[in-house]
Amino acid sequence: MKLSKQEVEHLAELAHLRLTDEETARYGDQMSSILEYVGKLQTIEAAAAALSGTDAVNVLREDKVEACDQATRDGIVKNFPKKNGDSLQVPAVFGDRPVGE
Amino acid sequence: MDLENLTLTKAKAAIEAKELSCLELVDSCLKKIGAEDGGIGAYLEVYADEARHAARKADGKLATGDALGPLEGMPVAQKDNLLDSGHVVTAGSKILEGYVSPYSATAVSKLRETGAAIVGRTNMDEFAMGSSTESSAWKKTSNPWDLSRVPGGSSGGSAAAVAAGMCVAALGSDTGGSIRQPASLCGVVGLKPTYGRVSRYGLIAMASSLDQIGPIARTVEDAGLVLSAIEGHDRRDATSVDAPATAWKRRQDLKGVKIGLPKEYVEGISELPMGPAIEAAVKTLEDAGAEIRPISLPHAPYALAVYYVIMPAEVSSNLSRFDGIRFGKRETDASLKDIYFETRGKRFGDEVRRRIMIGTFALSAGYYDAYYRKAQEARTLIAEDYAKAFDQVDLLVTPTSPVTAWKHGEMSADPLAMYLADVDTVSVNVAGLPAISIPCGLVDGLPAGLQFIGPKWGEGKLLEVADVAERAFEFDRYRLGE
Repeated sequence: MKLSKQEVEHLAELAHLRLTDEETARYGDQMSSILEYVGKLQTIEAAAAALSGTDAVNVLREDKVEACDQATRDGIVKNFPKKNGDSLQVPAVFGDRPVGE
Repeated sequence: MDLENLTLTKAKAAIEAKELSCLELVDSCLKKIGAEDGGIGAYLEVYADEARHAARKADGKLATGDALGPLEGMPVAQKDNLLDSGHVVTAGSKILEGYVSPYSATAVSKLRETGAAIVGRTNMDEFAMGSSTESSAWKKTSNPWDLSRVPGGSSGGSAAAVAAGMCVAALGSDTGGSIRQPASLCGVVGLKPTYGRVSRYGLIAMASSLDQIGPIARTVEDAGLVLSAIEGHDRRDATSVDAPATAWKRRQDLKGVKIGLPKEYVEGISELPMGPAIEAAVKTLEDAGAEIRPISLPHAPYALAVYYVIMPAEVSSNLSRFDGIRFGKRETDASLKDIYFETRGKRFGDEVRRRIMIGTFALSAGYYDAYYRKAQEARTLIAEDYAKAFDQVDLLVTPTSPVTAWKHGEMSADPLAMYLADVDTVSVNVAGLPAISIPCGLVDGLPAGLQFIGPKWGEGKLLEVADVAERAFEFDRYRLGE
């Protein structure tokens, strides 16, 4: 499965990765060879069902709010790359678009 | 007393006989780290004061006449993907530079509750992606048997630390072999529990349907002691299972034990450099009384492909949270899109970005059925092969790795070549089974490992059989320093 430059760029876009041209070319070759290898799955017969991987079934809990303890909360806030008081600060979601669009 | 090669069991006996204190043992590990970790590079951070504090506490308890638990006061290390409240944890990645754990992984809390002296966090491949620890963003780890060679991965730091006497046991994580393979390359014991046996709460997720935390130790018995400390149902991990605790008894021989030799994993082995060592090990099992039966796992040739579709797919989902927004480093504040693209583009390494994109591809429209759906179906077939095999035999045995430790840089040019080194271990994760690797001999001076695979919840049987095998292989005579 040979990936074109556009396909690699598309995957990088979907995965929110900014790549240089050199990286796009290098990863493209490496990924093509990996996808070539895993392509052998095409030859396998169908199975009755697809496994989930775990034995656990229908693990549920009560829909009750369990408050986070203060120490953990403080730890989480401390890790914010940019904050305003206790609030996480980020650029506006629609900040890129002109008003009215 | 040779403090470097003590096991948990021997150390506990010496401490109870007042020949040694917990503090002396922890100090000897810290001294070893000071003397040799510059060259080996197993640790990213050492918690000297904390470890000494735990050791003193254990010594104090002993002085009042109370008995100590099996891990109490013992120097143990943990992989850099296990959250530990108040400690920096990075999963070997720049994207989590400076991230301080706001809570502890269940496995870590359990270790602390036993009174273990946690010595520090160990180096790993970035986000556990790799078989050599070379993709760590922080430093190189070398194999204590030969510093020009890799320790294996992704739990290379943990394996090297145990092998070099810089702790007595360590926690690693295993998604496709990352406990067993470095254990094999470093000449120590590594156990991957049944999926669901050990809580994944607080383990930085790589592939959620494949990941498990497990012990790396010097003996099978020690690995069993660590497993008992960390196993158990946890309501905070919805995939953890309430299984009966692992229990096993030492046996004298392997009479009555049926061990299957899967032909897909051993054909052509005589041509490999490690062929003779594996064949000799299997013969030793037979001499100990085991009945060796050839069996077949017909879908084994697909296992690596299945793994390298499912794992990257889950990775692409799990690593989407690392976007510079809530934690870790943020590269820019120009716009939301720029934060995501720049942070991820700059702070994820090559291997991580490749695997995210492969996973994205496998899950994308037009390819989902041919790749991801197919892989999940193949997964069922692989699991069924194993279930059928365990109808005929108690355990399976294979080499842990097709090769011994290679030189730094030798395999990094071609990612696919490195993936092929996982061929013996990945199907175990795909089927959710338990497996243990124990060193079985040297090949050109480097350790080779034998892997035992058990049925689900079969850790007890694994430990019983591996314990007999360990004594029969007598790998201790090759161990570092002896």
